[in-house]
Amino acid sequence: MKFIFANIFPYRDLPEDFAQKYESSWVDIPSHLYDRKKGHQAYNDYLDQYELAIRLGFDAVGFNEHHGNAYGMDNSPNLMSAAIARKVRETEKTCIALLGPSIALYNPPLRVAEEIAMLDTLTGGRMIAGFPAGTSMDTNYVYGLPPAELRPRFWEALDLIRQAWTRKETFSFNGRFTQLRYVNIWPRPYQDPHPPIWLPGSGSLETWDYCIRNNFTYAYLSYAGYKNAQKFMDGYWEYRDKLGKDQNPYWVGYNQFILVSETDERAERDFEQHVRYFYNKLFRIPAKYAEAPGYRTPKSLLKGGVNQFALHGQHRYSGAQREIRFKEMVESGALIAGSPATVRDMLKEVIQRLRVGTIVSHFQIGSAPQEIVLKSIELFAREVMPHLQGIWDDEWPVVGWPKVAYNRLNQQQEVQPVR
Amino acid sequence: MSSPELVTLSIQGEHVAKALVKGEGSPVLFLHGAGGLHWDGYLEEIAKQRKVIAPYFPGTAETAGANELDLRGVWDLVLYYYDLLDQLGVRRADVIGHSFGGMLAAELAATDNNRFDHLVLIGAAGLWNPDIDTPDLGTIIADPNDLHARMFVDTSSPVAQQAIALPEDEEERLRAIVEQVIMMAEASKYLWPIPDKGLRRRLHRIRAKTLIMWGEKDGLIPVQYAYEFQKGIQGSRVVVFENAAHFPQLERLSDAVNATLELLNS
Repeated sequence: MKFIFANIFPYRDLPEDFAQKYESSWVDIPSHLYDRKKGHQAYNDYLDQYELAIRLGFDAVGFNEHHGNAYGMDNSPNLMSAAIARKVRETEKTCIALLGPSIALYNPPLRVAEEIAMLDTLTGGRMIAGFPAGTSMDTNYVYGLPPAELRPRFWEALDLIRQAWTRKETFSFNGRFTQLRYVNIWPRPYQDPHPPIWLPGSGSLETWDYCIRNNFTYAYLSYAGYKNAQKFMDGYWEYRDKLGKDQNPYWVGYNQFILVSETDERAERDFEQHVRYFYNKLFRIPAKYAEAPGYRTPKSLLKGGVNQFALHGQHRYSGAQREIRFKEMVESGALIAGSPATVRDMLKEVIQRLRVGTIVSHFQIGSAPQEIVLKSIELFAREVMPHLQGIWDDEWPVVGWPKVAYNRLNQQQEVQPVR
Repeated sequence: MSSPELVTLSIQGEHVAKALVKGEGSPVLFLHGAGGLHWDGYLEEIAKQRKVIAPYFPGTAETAGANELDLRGVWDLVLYYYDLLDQLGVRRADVIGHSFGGMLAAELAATDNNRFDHLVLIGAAGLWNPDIDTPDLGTIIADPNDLHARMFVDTSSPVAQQAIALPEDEEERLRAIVEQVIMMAEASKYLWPIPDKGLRRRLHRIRAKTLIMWGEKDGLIPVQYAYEFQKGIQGSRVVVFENAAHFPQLERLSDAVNATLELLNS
């Protein structure tokens, strides 16, 4: 079982009346709400959290990518990775999981292939390359991509990156969006043939299918809690089975807020207002930015149902502005919160029910101050993680991770004589 | 009114294109906006005097779309419409374009500038001036009430109600909404993030006699753009209708028909 430490880099200091006065935390959130000193402090606090997580033995640290918003201020996961790459290299086996580069946004996307090769070279092969399509706010509104072009650009960029990492000779690439006469990156990725590729997504069959057929890990990016995720993940495992593929839990990563304190009551006291800040302020995304027409394919629109009152599909954030009740959110699994013992039991249930090999663990929620987040990370790493890391390792070899993260079963596989 | 004929054509060999066709006389090509093709009172009136050919935008009404046809930009789209006219045996024509269709009509008239004798632009997209406060259609469509109020001066009027009505039957309604999303997604390839794909640089080539019609209260493409088009198209005339928004051809039906026919017959 693997745990990735991740932080979305939220802005912690939006005003009390933000939700009453402003309609969006994204795209056109007024810049006067941003205080550069608080931004500086937040960036450095968050990197302190990363360094602590690295010291405490998380299997990986992860970064994502968002643009023009207060929800997540990491515009460049590759830059942030570079800031901690040498710390990672000093550890025995911590990796860096990019859950971010929105490869459709770069021209040429070769840049992403190069930067990850650079990071892989720097860390000696500790990189995981996760490529999401990106939200509509980020890609269509802030980065201006025509919504119906996002996915074609994504698949073309992925094709270019894979070829750039694997083809030995200099080659030409004549794509619809990118044309290159000479593709020949230096440095090459340290891992052979290249860092494991993950596709983070929020549930399209197309992505599952692509992951399964190409041996990519699927990372399910949902905040909705495991009770909502159950049906979805059951569907994934059935689909793998249908394609005649194994049931190795390491093929799946799952997103989870984890809030630990000394006791269950204390966890609620520590985090409740910050949970509210997250959902009411940071997750304040109006329908007009949530899903541009064409962001989802007509096929998935018909499958998911569309909002009858709007041309936009029924969007993912529509539930965000409801009344926040901490206990209900813990019950639904949207939050895993409480004492180390409680968190341990809950997480074990999530891991086994959903059959996931990696938890992308978020400790920073909303405006939570540094002290309580650091405490939460420490309690988790010392009193929760060691009790869960052994799950699966007697049954399944690790897949979708750099070699340093392999287990005993991988080693057994490796020493088998090759004919 | 009797229904127009639904004509199915082959494009690029085996792909399907479709157009609504009605009337006799010299042909008028009508290019619809990003809301899709609806046979309305304006088309009906024009069809009494001319042969109206109103193609469905590629990808809508179960026609081959940009992916199947590999349409990558404005140029490919312009050639698509030339192919379509060739299929219909139409060498010369007049062209009317509304909204997004206005952008396409101007592109058609600017590219092969011998093919069209008259050009009518109604609340046309395709130009950008940062000094004009231009709404973002991509965000407005999230709120149908706002959208409709920008399309019509009086959303409760029969013409507005007819234009914005969705089918009663739930399944048909869902299909109609998905069809609208497809239309918007396809149009967005040419309108996003700014509806400027270089048309201004090509307007000077237009030789067709041009009428630019606009609703004074157009809430989607402000009336100032009428004059932006006029600046670019030599000899063009602007008619602005009071008490009309983005659909002056419906809200001021008889005036719009008269102005159109006056130009087409000149």
